[in-house]
Amino acid sequence: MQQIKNKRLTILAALLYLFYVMLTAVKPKAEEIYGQIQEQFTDYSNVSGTTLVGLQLGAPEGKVNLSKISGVVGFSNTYKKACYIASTQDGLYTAEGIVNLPPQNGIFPIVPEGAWRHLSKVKAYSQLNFAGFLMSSESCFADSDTEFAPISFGAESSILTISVNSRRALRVHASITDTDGDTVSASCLQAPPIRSVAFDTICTLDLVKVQAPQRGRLKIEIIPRIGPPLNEFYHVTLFPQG
Amino acid sequence: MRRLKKFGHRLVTVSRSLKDIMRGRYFSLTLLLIIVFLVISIPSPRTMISIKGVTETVAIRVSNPFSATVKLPVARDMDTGRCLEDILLSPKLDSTVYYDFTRTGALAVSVDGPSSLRVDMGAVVAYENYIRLIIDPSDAECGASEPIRMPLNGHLQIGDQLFNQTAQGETPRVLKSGEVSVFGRSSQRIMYIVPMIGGPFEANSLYLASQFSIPAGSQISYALDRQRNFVPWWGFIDFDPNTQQSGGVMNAATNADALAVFAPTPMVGDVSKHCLPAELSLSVRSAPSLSPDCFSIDLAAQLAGDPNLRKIYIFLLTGAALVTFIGYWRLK
Repeated sequence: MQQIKNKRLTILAALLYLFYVMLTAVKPKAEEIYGQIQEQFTDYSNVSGTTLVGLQLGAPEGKVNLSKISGVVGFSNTYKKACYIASTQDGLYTAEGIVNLPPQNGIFPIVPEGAWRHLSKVKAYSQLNFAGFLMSSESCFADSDTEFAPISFGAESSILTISVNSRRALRVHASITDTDGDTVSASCLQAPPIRSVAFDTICTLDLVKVQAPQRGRLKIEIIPRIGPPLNEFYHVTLFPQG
Repeated sequence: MRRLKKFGHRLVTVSRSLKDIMRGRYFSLTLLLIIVFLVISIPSPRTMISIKGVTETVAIRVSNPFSATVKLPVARDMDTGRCLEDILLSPKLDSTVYYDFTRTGALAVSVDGPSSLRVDMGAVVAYENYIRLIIDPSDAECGASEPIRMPLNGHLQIGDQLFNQTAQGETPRVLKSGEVSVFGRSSQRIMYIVPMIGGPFEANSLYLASQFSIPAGSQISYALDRQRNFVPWWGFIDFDPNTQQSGGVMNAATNADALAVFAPTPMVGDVSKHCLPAELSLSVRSAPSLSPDCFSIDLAAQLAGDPNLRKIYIFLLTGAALVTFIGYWRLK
């Protein structure tokens, strides 16, 4: 009799646990960029040789609040998944992960599985010291067809911030050519000569000046200290298409 | 009357204490007090920092255009492809001159900012934005064969930060080796008033306070004075086109009080206020950053190394020995 009672209790406990798990499980919503994002905050800096480090929509103001980070989705008709990459300027914080895109285009919050692990540490950084983007690649490696889309912290402005790792080049120039063929140049400013490992140049551009601001081709021109000038091209989604 | 008595008692006490000191009592206390007084009253030393090493890159922000002129026997303009001979490159104030040594043995001299160029004693051509020259020993038509010495006068940044090789094959150009010597200049005054000049004291004598090696891959970023202003360096760097090794051999010195060094494994934490120039500390204080390691002369090194202070120690010790001996003799 006692054994039956114990079994019933066990089953009840298991059912209760199942109910709890179902209640607390975070379900990906259709209006979220959701996926498993690997984050790390180390005491050594991760340095990459990549030129384009970040695209941010909206003038960077205030501190980084990862719970308010969102991404521009403009290539969801072709791609169901994208790669999210972010880092702080000093290279201590890096995040990377494959995320599921909502079926429609728009600006959606980026939500990791579980929760942001280093929310409070990253909060100490200003938005200008943070860079990231979404790219239409499931391997997180870019090729000539890869599309890039900016992240946003909710600021309602048409300023696009482009974070570039020029490796202390002599000159950096960025411009965007829209689908109509019109080109708008960005103004680039090199960071003060403090150690900056992830990116050292910030270019800003007002998308109001772009005639067809949905999609464009970003050109980054670098005059290095040695060697021929470098020209890199990126397909970018700027504002979500209808 | 009472007051007079009290004063008399005090006088007696003081004279007894003096007698005690003369007899050798309270000797250690007196010596300790003198040393504490000495330590407190010594002004911070004026220092000189020198570095010699091999680096693959140096950036010089020009603080004196006349002393930053670079003379090159031959070089190729990277943008026009022209081979130039007998070059006099004069960067303007606040321009940045870069010396980059490639792993294939070439030297690139570039100026970020306005500069002027005179070739073959001809007319001077002004460059508003930048100029890029390369001396490649493997260039049959435009390669130098003789060693070249270039100035290192201005605010230096030595070595590049480490990064992964880029898609274009670019690798970081680093500080390969470096040895830093920190020299102090002997104290001239005690309590900022009493001069230590003449007699056994030496004016403006240098002493070596510390010497250490800097790990390869470090970046020497700032030489600062006490007010956290940039201090210029003076020195030179040699390029030998006949050597197979990359990097130039540099020798430079500065009258800085502190040197900020970003090691390849830098310290993480609060931004060091001491090691950052005033103009930068505000801009980076808002965000956590990699703090530089700071090299400066410390009190212990000053107390141990300053020749004038050493003479004071000898004087004190001789006096102390004399007092002890007299006290011992009188007690007997």
